[in-house]
Amino acid sequence: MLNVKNLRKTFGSLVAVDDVTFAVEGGQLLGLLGPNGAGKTTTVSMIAGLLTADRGDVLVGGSRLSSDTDPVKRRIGLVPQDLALYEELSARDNLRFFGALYGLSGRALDQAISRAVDLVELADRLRDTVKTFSGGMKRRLNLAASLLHDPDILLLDEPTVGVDPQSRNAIFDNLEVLKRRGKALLYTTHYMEEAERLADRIVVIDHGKVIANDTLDGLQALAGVAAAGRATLESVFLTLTGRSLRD
Amino acid sequence: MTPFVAMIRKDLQLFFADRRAVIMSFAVPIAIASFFGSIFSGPSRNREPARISIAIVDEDGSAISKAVVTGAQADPNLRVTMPTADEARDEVRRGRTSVAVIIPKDFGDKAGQAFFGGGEKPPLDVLFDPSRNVEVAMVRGILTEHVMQAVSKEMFGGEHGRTLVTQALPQIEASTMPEDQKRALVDMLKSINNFYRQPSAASQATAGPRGITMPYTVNEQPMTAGQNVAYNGYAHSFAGMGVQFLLFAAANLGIEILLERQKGLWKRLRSAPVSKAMLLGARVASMTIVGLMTMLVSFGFAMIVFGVGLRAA
Repeated sequence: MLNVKNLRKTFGSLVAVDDVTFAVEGGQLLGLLGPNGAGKTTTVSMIAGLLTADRGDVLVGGSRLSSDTDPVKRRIGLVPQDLALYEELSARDNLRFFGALYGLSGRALDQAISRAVDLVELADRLRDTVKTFSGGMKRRLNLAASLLHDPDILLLDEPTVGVDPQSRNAIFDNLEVLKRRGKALLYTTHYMEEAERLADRIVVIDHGKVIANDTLDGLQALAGVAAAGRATLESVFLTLTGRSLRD
Repeated sequence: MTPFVAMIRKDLQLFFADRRAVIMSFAVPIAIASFFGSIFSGPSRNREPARISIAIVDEDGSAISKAVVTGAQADPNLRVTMPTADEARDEVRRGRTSVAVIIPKDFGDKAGQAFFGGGEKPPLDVLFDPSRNVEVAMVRGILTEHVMQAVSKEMFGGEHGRTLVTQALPQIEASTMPEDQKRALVDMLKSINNFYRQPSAASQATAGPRGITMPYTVNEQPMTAGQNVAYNGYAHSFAGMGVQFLLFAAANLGIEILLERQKGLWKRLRSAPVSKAMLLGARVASMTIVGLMTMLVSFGFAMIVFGVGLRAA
């Protein structure tokens, strides 16, 4: 569904992403892990079409993203790390606006909104302004806003930052449903337990390069920590990326 | 709904959801423009010109000083009060009066003698508010006219003037002035005295104004948009404020885009299949609509309340 091939991006002399390659299939969740400044957000931005790669390809269902208005973009949904919502507007007005950006209108838009809020369990709060929502509700609405146009690929950039365990669990349930619906999910996070619970495959990225791309079991074997018993993803991660602090 | 229309609709929803933005865009320009309009509107057809407040303290009480006061009181540019010297000082200090003029004792005598260059010029004390220099300059000019008129009137016909002329004649005769000049001046003063001794001339003279007056009148013609179109300062202030708030709206356009970037909204917008040109164009369009509404409301208010018309200025 999503193929990232030899992606490279530099900012001046800084190589942010260097020869990154991975693929995500439908019904699969790929965890993209890495320390701060590893290049995760830059990679997601290039896939979403927010940044242009210096080199390499992003193929969505075999098609290359060519311009801002490329219809291929309709197959991608982005859940930004920030709560990208208009706080002064109601949940419905936010969703109507974001749906209209993808050409939805009338009955189709109403149905899309209904499906999205049913999934994230916010149907009864549609008329309320977003500023009255809790942090967890805003996160769920943030997710719903990316599902309106029914994308095949969902890019989730740390979608559970700052939410309580109940809301986080609700979002996990939503993602499980989306996986079952055949969506391809790319999930960046700092929370190892999230990747352990959700990810079918895990890509570890550091200094812009992919240093591991495997299942959790495969990573444990690669890091050589399995011999000492069942290792956590965190210990694998620290083994692979080192313990030095990052900016 | 197209993405372009949806973006404009969203911007208008956000604008009207923000009470402060609405007040800033509609009420504030009206309030500021009304304030400046009231200051700079100037005299209209049916209104008297604004008068300068002036306090005059007459410590002399002579015919000349009384004539100066009378002239100032009749002047359409002045609003004259007659307090004591201490009260006048206090009024100027407190900003209630722009200028106070103190006419000292013996002003009339000394001014009369100085009129022909024969004596020391008496001082006029002028107390003024330093923040109102323009009004001081205007009062100085207006006062010059009234003092010259009063002194010349008295010197060329008043009882006091005749006495001074009579006193001056022997002094001129005894002076070291060149003989031809002395003779000319003496003849002129004697002629003046003779003129006012004739009953018909005296009665004619008391009937009308005498003395030195302004040798011209002013015909003021405000150049407005057309004939019979009165100047309306509110038209200027509302137009100026409208343009100013359009510029504010344009600046706000840039700020809001930066805020959207800061909040991460720009990423979501850019991830949709819409071009940057459309994103910016929709923002410009919504700003234009808000700006037009601001102008419409402001000018509507100005037309209804202040009678501003399209040709008002």
